[in-house]
Amino acid sequence: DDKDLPSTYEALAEWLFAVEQKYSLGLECGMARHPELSSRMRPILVDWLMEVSTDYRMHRQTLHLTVQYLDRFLANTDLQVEPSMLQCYGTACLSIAMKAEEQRAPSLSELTDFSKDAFTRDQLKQAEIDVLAALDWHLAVPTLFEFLCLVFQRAAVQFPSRFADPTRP
Amino acid sequence: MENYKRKREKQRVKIRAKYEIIGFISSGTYGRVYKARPREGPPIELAIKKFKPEREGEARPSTGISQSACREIGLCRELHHENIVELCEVVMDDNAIHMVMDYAEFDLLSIMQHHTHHLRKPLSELVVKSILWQLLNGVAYLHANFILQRDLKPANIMITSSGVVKVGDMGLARVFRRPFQTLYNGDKVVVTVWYRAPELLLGSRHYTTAIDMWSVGCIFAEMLALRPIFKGEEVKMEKKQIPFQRGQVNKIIEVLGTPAKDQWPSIELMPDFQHMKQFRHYANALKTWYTNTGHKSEAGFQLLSSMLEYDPERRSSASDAMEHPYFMEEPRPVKHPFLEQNISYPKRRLTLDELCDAKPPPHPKMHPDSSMPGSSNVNTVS
Repeated sequence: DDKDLPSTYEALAEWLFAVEQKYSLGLECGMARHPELSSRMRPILVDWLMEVSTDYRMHRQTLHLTVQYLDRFLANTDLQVEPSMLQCYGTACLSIAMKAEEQRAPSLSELTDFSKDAFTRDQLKQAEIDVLAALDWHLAVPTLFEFLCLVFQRAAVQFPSRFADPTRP
Repeated sequence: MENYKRKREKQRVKIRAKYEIIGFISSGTYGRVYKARPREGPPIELAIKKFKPEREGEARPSTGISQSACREIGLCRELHHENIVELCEVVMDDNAIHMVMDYAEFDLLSIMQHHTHHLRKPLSELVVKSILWQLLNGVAYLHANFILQRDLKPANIMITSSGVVKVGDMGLARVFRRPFQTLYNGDKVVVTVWYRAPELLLGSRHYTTAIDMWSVGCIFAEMLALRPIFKGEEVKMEKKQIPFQRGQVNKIIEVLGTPAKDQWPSIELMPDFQHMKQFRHYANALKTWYTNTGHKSEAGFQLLSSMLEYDPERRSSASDAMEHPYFMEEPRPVKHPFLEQNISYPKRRLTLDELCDAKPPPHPKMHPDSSMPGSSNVNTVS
């Protein structure tokens, strides 16, 4: 029974689906386009990005955006990404996601410090430009997190008793 | 590696190789805006917004690509509507990012000032109605795409030479796709003070599309009277504390009356509600204000009142306002009001700077500088 749901939920769900369809990669993450990258590098990178995001107390949405940018970058770029540069590109995605979503973005040198100087500031600066070019500046693309928010909000309205007590399994 | 570099060079189109920069239009904290035309293809006019490049050795450590560019371009990239300034292309060269956009010859502020200082007569009802309807159409589109503009004011309403409205400057805009997400951000304020909604003036953390509609109401009133309806004195920020805008609130209640509890039931929950006690009591004088502008349409008054509702929940939405009887009554709004009424205004004044290619033909100065409180002193907000 949807009658208690604000009408914006429906409109928002519809809108998110429509926009997502334009940019979604499905299960593809673009790694296969880069022969020098192996499939286990992505989880390692994402783990590290999660660590950084925790340290910065980033909003969940920012992390989800970061990973989405990374996948879309790898799927769309004309560049061949070498393993040694993957972390640099991941950090560039994080930096862009923070600019789009958070109040303040860290400086480039803070980010290179975080990666224990695995890449230079100039490389990171260039990587940001490469990522933005590959994403063609489509930055406000819905993420899994936004869909989850919507699902939980719906559920909370439909089954209030289950959501009343946060300690309940 | 060579291949790598070559591909990169291709991305970096030099802005001047592709566009002829005709003149400089304006500048702000973000950078500078130019008028330009493409070197190849049809001879159209464009506006180019150049974000300030980062200079080496600045006090602040480098953060790479500018945050305001990421925000603004990221939002504009998904917007395509006849009443919203269109982003045609993003050009990155060396250190700077350029937004290539639709060019509009006028903005609503310059048009109103031309009427005040030169023509000394009000805007015709057809022009007011046509501009308002198109403005609502653009704002309704933004809201349907879950975007708050957050800085609607006459200077940000671009108008083409035939009279088509293009809502511009999305520099303060924000998506609001996650319900319950707070849009409040510490020491930052949104919306130029004369156009700022009462819930923002009372410190609300959760605000909605209704803040844009308040601004639209103020702009409608300003078109009728040719002066801002609530021209409050801005209290400057001190010690990173957002001050209570006493003068602005006073201007509003002088016209709309002291808000009663049944008019705005949740007013007592506003963080800065306690400040309301310091004002003396006023009765609603909007009808008198409206009559004094010389306008007679009762529907016009009703529409204005519905956009200047104190309670954001009762305030008219953009899509509802577009259906208002005011727009059904004669004169009906048109798409090209200036063309229809054979009105022409002096063209935008251009100057030259080092980026420009050619000397623009001299234009008379259109209007003296106004004392508008700008949003250029507002920092980037989240």
